Amino acid sequence: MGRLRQVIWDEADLEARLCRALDVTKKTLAYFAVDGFEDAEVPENNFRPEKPVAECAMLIYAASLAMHLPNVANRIDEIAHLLVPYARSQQTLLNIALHPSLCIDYAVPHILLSKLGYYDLAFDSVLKSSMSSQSCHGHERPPFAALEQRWITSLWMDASPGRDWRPDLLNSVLYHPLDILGGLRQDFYAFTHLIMYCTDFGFRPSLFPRPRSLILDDAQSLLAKCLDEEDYDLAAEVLLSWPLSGARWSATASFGFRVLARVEDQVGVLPAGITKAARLNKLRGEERTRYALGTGYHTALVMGLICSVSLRPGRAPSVRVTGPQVEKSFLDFLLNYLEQDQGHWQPIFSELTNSERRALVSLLLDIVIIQKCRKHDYKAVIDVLSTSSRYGLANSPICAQAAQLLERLSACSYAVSSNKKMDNCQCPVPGLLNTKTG
Amino acid sequence: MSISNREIVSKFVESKAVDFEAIGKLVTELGPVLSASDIGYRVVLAGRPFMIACLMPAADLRELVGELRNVSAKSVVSE
Repeated sequence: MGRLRQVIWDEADLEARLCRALDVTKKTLAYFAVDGFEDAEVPENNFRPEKPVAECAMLIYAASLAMHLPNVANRIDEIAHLLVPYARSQQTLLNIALHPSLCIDYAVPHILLSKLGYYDLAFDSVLKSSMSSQSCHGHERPPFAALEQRWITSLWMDASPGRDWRPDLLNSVLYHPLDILGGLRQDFYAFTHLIMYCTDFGFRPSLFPRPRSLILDDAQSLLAKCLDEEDYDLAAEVLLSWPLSGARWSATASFGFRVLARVEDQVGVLPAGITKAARLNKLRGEERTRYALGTGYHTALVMGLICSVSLRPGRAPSVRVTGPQVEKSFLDFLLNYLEQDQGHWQPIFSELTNSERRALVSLLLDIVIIQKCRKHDYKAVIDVLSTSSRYGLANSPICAQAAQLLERLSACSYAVSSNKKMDNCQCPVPGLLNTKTG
Repeated sequence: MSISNREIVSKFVESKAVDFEAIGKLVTELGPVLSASDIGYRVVLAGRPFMIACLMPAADLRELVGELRNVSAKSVVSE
């Protein structure tokens, strides 16, 4: 049988998606660059104006390698001009002067605009003064935020990442395997953002503290979780791992992009889970647009980021899902365990050829384990792990983490039953074991 | 040298050390506690107002699944 030819995603389609994201960006600035977004019903959705301004600057920075496309170049120039007054406002200048330990945070859009050729020497001078202040480093940051600072500072200084990045990298989730089953959402975002910083949005070779293949294994399992949960904001950020690091898109990643593209086509923009249809339908006019944009712009913007990076030579996702062919009997085994009432990926999966499905067995395996763990169906988890181990396929981070979860739960059940026995027994010293009797 | 994912699973399966009956009992008895341990959906980064990062709080799973199918294209981008 001849090898399937690698067919890459159509450049014109990627360009159209990027342009759509850039158009959403323009609208986002118009609505939120001054006051940010306040959601009276769900305050967790609130954000300050610095957030969309910085993120829009990041998108045009990432998109700048597609400047050979006139539709993209025109939009980038337009957005850059829209950004300048916000990025370099009097308020921003004052913030930089008043809070030297946060000055780089405030200067992100300015620095990215400078990299694109939109300079402001007077602003640079204020930033320089703040950067050389005694208290410039007087803000405590977790490793990913420290690396964010190092990345943006390296752009401003026009310097390559140095050895000083290493301690933070070794303390970050890029070095330590992600806790995909039980971890916090903020750690997943730390992971995706670190990939952006450590590749300078794909402009530099990857500066990873672990082999790229191990990091992409984590990304692959995390993507399975996102697709199952229909969390397209995080899924889109995870998908960036392949084009940003210059790796060839895996079968799972290519399929993930296909799912996101399909959802985007159906909805009109890649939707965020926090946009509530019921609420949206009650709103009218500007209020409606404000709510839709405030809750949805970020996901649309990340889709633009993927398309920006994928437009670079050799970084586009493949149209066909290709990969090692797993035995059909194992695929059928997994399908019996799969909960089929969840996930927009499922109808798309069912459209695939047998060969494509068999190339996606590792994704399916991860999803089944995630679903069963979420339902606390641990008997099913061991069945799936045992069978996949027999096939030699239990090699994803999710598989290992599920096995260790079962070990911990077993220890936990032993400890709980031991405690109960202790509660029921006569304690030789009153109050020593049973604190309730104090 | 660190142990691979495959080896972790293989050791686990071979050990047969997990008492599933006990885990089942634990899950039944501690069901509400286990549910309360499902963290991760609405974590707010308190004290970090200047996070450039794009932490978008995902909706609760039940809300997330299904609602997206009802969001019409025009309502999000156009108008």
